[in-house]
Amino acid sequence: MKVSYKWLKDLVDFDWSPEELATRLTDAGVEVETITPLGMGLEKVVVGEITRVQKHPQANHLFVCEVEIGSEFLQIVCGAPNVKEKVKVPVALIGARLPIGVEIRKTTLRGVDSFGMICSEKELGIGEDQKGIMILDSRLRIGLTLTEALDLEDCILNLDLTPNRADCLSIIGVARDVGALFGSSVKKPQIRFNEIDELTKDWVEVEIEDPAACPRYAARVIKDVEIKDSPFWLKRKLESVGMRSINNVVDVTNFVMMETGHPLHAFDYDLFSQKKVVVRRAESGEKFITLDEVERSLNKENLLITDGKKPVAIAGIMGGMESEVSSNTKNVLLESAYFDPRVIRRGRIFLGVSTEASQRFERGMDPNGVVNAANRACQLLEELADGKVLKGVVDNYPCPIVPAQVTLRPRRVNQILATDLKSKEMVQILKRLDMEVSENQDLRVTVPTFRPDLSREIDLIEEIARIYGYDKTETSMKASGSLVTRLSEEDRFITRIKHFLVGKGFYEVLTNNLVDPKILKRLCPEISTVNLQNPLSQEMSVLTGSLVHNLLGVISWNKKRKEEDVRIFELGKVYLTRENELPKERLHLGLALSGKREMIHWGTEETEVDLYDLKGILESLASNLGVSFHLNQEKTIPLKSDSSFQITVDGTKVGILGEVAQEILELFEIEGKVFAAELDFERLLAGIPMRKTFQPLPKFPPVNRDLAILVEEDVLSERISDKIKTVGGDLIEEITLFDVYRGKQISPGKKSLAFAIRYRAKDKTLTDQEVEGIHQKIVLELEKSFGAILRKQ
Amino acid sequence: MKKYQEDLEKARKEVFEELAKVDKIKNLEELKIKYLGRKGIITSFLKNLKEVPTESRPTLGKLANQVKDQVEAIFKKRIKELKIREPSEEKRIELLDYTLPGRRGWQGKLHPITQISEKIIGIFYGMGFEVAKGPDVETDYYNFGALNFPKDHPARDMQDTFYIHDDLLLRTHTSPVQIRVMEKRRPPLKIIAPGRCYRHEAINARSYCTFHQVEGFYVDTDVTFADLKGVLSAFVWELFGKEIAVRFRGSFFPFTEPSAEMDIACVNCKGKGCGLCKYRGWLEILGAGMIDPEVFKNVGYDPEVYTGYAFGMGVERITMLKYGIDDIRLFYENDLRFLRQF
Repeated sequence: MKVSYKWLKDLVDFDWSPEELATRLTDAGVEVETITPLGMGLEKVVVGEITRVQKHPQANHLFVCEVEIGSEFLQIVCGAPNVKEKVKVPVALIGARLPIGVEIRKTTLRGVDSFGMICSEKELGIGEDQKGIMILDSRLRIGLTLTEALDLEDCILNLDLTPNRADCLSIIGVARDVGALFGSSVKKPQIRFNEIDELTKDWVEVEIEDPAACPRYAARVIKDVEIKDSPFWLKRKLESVGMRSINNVVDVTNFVMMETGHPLHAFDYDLFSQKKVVVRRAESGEKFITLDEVERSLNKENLLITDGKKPVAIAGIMGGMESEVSSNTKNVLLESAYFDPRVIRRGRIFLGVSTEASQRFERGMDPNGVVNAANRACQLLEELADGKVLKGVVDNYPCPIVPAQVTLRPRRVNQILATDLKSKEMVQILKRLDMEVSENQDLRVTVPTFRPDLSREIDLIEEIARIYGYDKTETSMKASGSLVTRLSEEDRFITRIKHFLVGKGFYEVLTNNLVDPKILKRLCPEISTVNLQNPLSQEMSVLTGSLVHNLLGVISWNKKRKEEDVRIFELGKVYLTRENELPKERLHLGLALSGKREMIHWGTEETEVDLYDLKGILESLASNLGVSFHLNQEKTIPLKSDSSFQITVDGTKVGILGEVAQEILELFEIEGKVFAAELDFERLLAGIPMRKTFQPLPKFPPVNRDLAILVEEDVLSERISDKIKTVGGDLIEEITLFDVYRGKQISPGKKSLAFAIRYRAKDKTLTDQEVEGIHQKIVLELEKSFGAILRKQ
Repeated sequence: MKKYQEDLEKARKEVFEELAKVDKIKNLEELKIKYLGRKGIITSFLKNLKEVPTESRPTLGKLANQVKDQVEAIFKKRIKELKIREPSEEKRIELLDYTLPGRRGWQGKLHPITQISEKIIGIFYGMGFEVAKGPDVETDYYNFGALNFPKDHPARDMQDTFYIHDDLLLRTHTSPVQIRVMEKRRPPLKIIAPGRCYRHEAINARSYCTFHQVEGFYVDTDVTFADLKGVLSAFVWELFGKEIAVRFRGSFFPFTEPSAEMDIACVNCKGKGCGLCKYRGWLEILGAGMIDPEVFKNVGYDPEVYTGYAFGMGVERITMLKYGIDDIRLFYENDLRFLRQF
C-alpha cells in the first residue's frame, strides 16, 4: 500500500516530517518499508510562456520557439505538434536532470541553437501523456518552478501491511492511526451532492441469492455522465499512490477506494439486459471474460454479479469486459457492496489472481461504510463528470452487521503489559481510534466495523500498547522459571559427534533436503519418498531419503570448483512416507571422503584416501562413544559391489560404509574415488553404553609376543584375531595387527599377517612357559582352521 | 702395581696437556674418543684391571675410576667452554628450520548455521530454557490451525507453504513445537525449539526454500510483556554485544497478541543508515509476542490463569548479519571455500 504524505496531510493534522512519520507508524505496527520522494529532478523546470512560434528553416517538423521564463526569453527548438503561441508550458532549463534520466544541455538542431526543452508529462515523469508538450493552466505565474506551480512535492510511504490491518488499505485508515499517535482527529471529507427527482429504485433492483456470501449490496445510478480525462489533481493523486488514470469515472471509483478503502465498481448501465442486479454463485465451468480480456473458467467458489441473465462481474475480484465503462457510456450503475472475506479469498485463489479490490475484500471491508463510499463517488461524479445522481440508494442489507462489544478490564491491561496506565489514558487511546467507550469499573468498548481484527479484550490491549508505544513499557531483567534444565542425551551426543568429526578434519555441511526423485531413486530404488504436491521444480520435489545422495551433491559442487580434497559430514534427517501417519523422520549421520589422505607436506608422501581411512574414522568415533563397529559384506546400491558393507553394533545394523559405485559418481559428474558412510543416528545412540563402570588397573605385568603367519588371500584378518581370542581366552589382553605383507618372499595367492599379542593374567605374573604353551596352542589352531603357516623371524 | 699406577698418572697428565692445546670441538671429540672411547686409553686401564693381582684390584680400581671421572669431568667442562666460544659452527650443524610447515592434520569446521545455532541455544540454555524438537512434516492443525491461523484467512499468505497433501505440509515455522509441548505438559514451561523450516518461495540471494529457526516460549502465571522485552534484550546483548540499541514495535502474528517485531541498531552502520539496513538504521531481528489466548484454549490451558510469551528467529538471517554474508544460497551450496571461513 502506497500512501502520499500530502494526501495524509489533507486528512489529519500532524507536524512530523515524512521520516518521523515513518518511524511513528512503524513503531505502531504499520510498517513503512521505504519513503520515496516525488518531484525529484524537476528543480530546474519552470513555468514558461511561448511568445512566438516559427517554422524551423531547415526542418519541416521542428519549430523555433521563443519562450518567456520570467527573467528572460529563451530560444528553444521543439518538435511537438501542439506548440502554439500564448500557452504556458513546463520548460526544462539547461542543467536540469529530468526524472527519465535526460540531462538538458545547449544544443544545435539543424543549425538553430536551442537553450532548453519544452516537456511532455511523460518526460517530466508526472504522467503518461507523450503525444505533445504539456499545456499548463494559463493562470500560473511565469517563472515559478513547476513543483511549486503544480504542487508536485510529496513523499510516498510504502507500507508493508500485516494482513490484520484491512483498515490501513485506505488513506483515511492510515490517517486515523496517525491521528491517534499524534493526538488529532481525522478530517473526513464533507459529502454533498444533488439528487435529481428520478428514483434509483425505478432503474434498478438488487437481488442477493446468497446473502451469507454477499451480506450487503448497494447500488446508485448516475445519469448523463460525460466520459473524459480526469483533472490534473485527480490524475496526480492516483499516480502518486501507484494507480494509472483511465477516465474520470473509473478514476473516481479508484480514488474513493484509495481514500475510504472501499472498492467500488462502475458499470455501463445501458449494457445491462434488464434493470436488475442479481448476486449469485457461478456454475461450475461457467465462462466469463474479465476486463483484462481474459476468458476465465469459474466454479462454485466464485460469486458473480449478473443482470439476471448474464454475468457482469466477478464479485469483489474483477469486472467484466462487456459491461465496462467506455467512452460511449452515458449512464453509470455504481456498485458498493460488502462480501464475505472468505468467499472472495477462495474465489481469487481459485482464479489465481489478486486485485486491489480482492485484497481489500478478503481482509474485510467495513460493511457499514458501503453507502458512504458510494455517496462520495456520487459527489465526485457530479463534480467531474457532470453526472446527475438519481434519488436514493438501492441498498440490499438484510441482516445488518453490528459493531462488536468488548469488555476491557483496565487491570488486565496493566497485568499483561506490566504498565501502570490509568483507565482514563486507555479510554483516550481507544477513543482516538474511533471506538466508543462507556466507563465503568470495566470498560465497555464498541469496536467500529472497519476494524474486523478487534473482537476480544486482548486485541484492545494490543491497540493500547501500540499507540502508547512498546518502547515506553517496562523491560524486566529478572529471571524466573524452573530451576532444572537439561539437554537430552540425543542433543548431547549430536554436539559431541559433530565436534569429534570436525577435529578429524571433516567439514559439517547442511544440504537442501528437497531433492530430485529421479536421482534419489537411482541410489535407493525401493524407498517410498515423501513427495511435495506443489514443488518449486521437479528437481526439488521430494524430501531426501539418503544423506549419501546429498553429500555426493556437495562433493560434485566442490570438485567442479577444483576443491579436490573433500571430507564432509552431515547430521540430518531422511524422510520416509507412511500410511495414515506422519512420515518417518530418521536422523542420520552421513560421511564422505575423497582426495588426498593427508595435507601436502614436505615430509610426507602424497597418497589418496581409501576405505581404511573412512573405516578408521568410524572406528575412532566408535571408540570415542564406547561402542564397537563390525563390518559385514552387504551389497547396497550406491556402493561398489566389492566394497559395500553394513555396519553393526552388537548385531544390530546401524549403517552402511563403502566406496561409491562408478555409475553413481557419474550421475553427479564426480571424478576420482569417493568413500561414504551413512548411519542411523537413533540406532547408533541405542548402542552407546550410558553407564560407565570402573575396571581396576592390572596388578601384574604383561608379556608381549609377536605372531606372523602365512594364509590364503581370502582369509579375513578379523577371523584370525577372533580365533586367537577364542583360544587364548581371558589371558589375551590385546591383539594388534601390525603388518600385512604380500610380495617377493611369499607365494602368490597368499598373504602374511603379523599380530602383536599381549598376554596378561589378572591374578599372577605369567611365566615364559605358560605363555609359550598358549602361543603354541594358538599356532596349532590357526594351522588347523585356516591352513596358516607360521613364519620364522 | 706400581707400573700400573705410573702409567695411569702419565695418561692423566697427557690428557691434560693435550686438552690444553685443543680449541675446536671437533678435535675435542676426537680426543675424547682417544681417551674415553670404547678402546680409549683411560678406558683400557679399567679393562686391564683383571690382569693385576687380585689383592691390588680394589685400590687400583678405585684409582682408575677416579681418574676416569676426573677426565670425563674435564672433557665436559671443556666442551661446554668451546661450545660457548664457537656457537655458530655448532648450530649450523643442527640448525632447525622452525619455519618449515609442521605436520598439520586436516581441520574441519562446523557449518556457520550450526555455530550460530549453538550460540543461540547456549544463551537461552543459560537463561533456563530447555530444548524441544518437532517433526519437519506437520499437519495443517499443528502448523496453522492450533496457532490461530484460520482457514481462508490472508494470514496464511504470510507463510507460503509446501504441501504433501491437503492436510500434510512442511512446517513453515518452528511454532508447531509450542503446541506439541503444551499438549503434553503443564506450565511452567520454558522451552526453545530449534529446527529446519520450509517456505514455498523462489530461491534467490534473499530467500531459500529451507532455513532454520529457533523458537522460544515461556508459559507461567504472571508472565508479562516486560518479561518478553527483558529476555530478548538480554539475548541480543549477549549475541551482538552489550552496547547495541534495541527497539520493539508493533506487528502481527496470529498466535501472539500483542505481537512485536524486535529490531537492533544496524550492525553495519550503527544506526546511521546504510545499504544493509535500507537506510533505516534498524535491522529486523526477530518476531515475538504474548501467546494468544486462542492458542492456550487450543491446548487446554486457561488463559485467565496462564500467560506467556513466544518468539522466533531465523538463524540464517542472524548468521548473515553477524558475518556480513549477502547471499543465503551460500549456506546450502557448502562450498569449502565458504565453510573454511568460519
